[in-house]
Amino acid sequence: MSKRTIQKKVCLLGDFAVGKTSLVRRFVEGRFDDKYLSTIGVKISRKSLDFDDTILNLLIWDLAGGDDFRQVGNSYLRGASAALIVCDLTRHDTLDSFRYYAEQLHQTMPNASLVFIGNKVDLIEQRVIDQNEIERISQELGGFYLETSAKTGFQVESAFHYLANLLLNVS
Amino acid sequence: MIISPLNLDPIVLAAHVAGILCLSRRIAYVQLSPQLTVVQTSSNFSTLLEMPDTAIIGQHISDLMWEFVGLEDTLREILHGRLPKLHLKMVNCTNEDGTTCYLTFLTTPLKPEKPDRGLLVLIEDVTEKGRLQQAIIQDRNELRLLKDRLLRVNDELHQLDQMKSLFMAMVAHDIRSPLGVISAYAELAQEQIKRGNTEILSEYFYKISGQTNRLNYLLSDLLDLDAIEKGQLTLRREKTDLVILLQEVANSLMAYFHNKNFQFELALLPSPCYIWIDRQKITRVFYNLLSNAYKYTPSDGRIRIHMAYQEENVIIQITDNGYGMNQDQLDQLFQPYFRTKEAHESKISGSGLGLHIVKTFVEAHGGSIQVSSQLGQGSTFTISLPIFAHE
Repeated sequence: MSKRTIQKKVCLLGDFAVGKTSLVRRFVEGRFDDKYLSTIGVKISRKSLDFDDTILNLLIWDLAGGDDFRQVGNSYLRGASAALIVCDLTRHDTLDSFRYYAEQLHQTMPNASLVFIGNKVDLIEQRVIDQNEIERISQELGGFYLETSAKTGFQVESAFHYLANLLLNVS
Repeated sequence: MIISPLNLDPIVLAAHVAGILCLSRRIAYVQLSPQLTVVQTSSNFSTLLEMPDTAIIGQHISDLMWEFVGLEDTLREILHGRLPKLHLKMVNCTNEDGTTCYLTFLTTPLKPEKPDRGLLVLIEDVTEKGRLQQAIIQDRNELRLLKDRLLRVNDELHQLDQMKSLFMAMVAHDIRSPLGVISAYAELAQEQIKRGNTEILSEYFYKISGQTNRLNYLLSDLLDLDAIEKGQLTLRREKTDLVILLQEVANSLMAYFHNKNFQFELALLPSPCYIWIDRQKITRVFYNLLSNAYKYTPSDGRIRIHMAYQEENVIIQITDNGYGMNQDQLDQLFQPYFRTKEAHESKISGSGLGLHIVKTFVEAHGGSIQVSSQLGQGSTFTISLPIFAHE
């Protein structure tokens, strides 16, 4: 029996320099680059995931963060089935924006699933965001929370696979 | 034959205009049917998007371009006249040579007055503008990150400055009090000598000696800290029986333990347990840890030293049932000048340098130190030291 193929658009949201592009690069290309390169607009990548009876093509929209996202409005969010909202565990202000991104997504796509990510977990000494605080906020905003490191690859696959499973269950 | 533009169907006219634009600027277009399949494209469409130009006509837009996956409902909203357009600005694409190009996608009804006739997608290459914008945003973001970092460093320096001021006040106090005791006993000793009463002198000299030792340890801490901060810490390793060393340190403190009626237990490995260490520095490690256990455990308490081998390491555990610490205190425990609030309030003497020095010395030997503690229950410090050239 041939597998069904479905395509889903997912967005990566979060302030600038939290590691959105690095997470996508780690997941799609399996590599990490230490150099910070600001994203403007959107970079779309594709990754196919093979499940028992389904091939899921994820179209990953890596959106510019911070003020640049606020300027482009919500047209990029149209059609998104889910989003990863990312903060940098070494910068507390990036957690403060979680609520803003979650609201923006739900205004445009009310049924979209959410997963919250605390990235750069490898920078133990510089960490300023408490796990309990971020878990509480994620729960309030209705999403699962995971800590990742795009640098080491820690839990990056898990985050995207968790998201993929959410999408398969919905579809 | 000359064809007047006025006689052309508006769609054909739009296609002509688009064709001219396509020649002069990096613009391509795709015309979509109401079913969102490709009806026609500009001649440069496949070149601009770097895709093979076979079998484009008739394909569904989301099969042809990733950018439109998930946007089918939005496109239908435009067809139904509920949305005037969809504008996707600065979509990043990667060229074959690995460089980034930027495209803008503008989707509008083919005929604004009859949106259900089909859609027109205009694709413009805005790479030059995009690269300029990217460079500006890159600089701005890097400056913001730098500013954040500077603010954080400034905060840390401010805290360090406060801690150093506190430390100086503490050191002044810690030097003044033993000096006061020494001075007082020296004066008393002089008076007793004048009176010819020399029997009591040994007790005075014992007190003076104790205070001199206290000053000596404080000065050692300060010199060690100076060496650590200057990166001048050097180890003079020698083959040492760790069991004997631990026994010696414990013996030197035994009188103090008896004074507080401690239950003291030594569970050491059989001697010899040779390792290559800087004897003086590791002696200070155990002295500092046992002094702390003594200071932060109330009378009638319990202190235990336990030794064991673990793979290529020797493990030494020092456990007390003293005041203990909470997680917040544990997180800062090894920072220089750190002292718990309770330590300040209880006037227990200390510079806040001992554990910082302990950690630095242990790590300089390639070892590690861990601490577990519970408020009101006590603490356990676990040191792991590698056995180099173990016989």
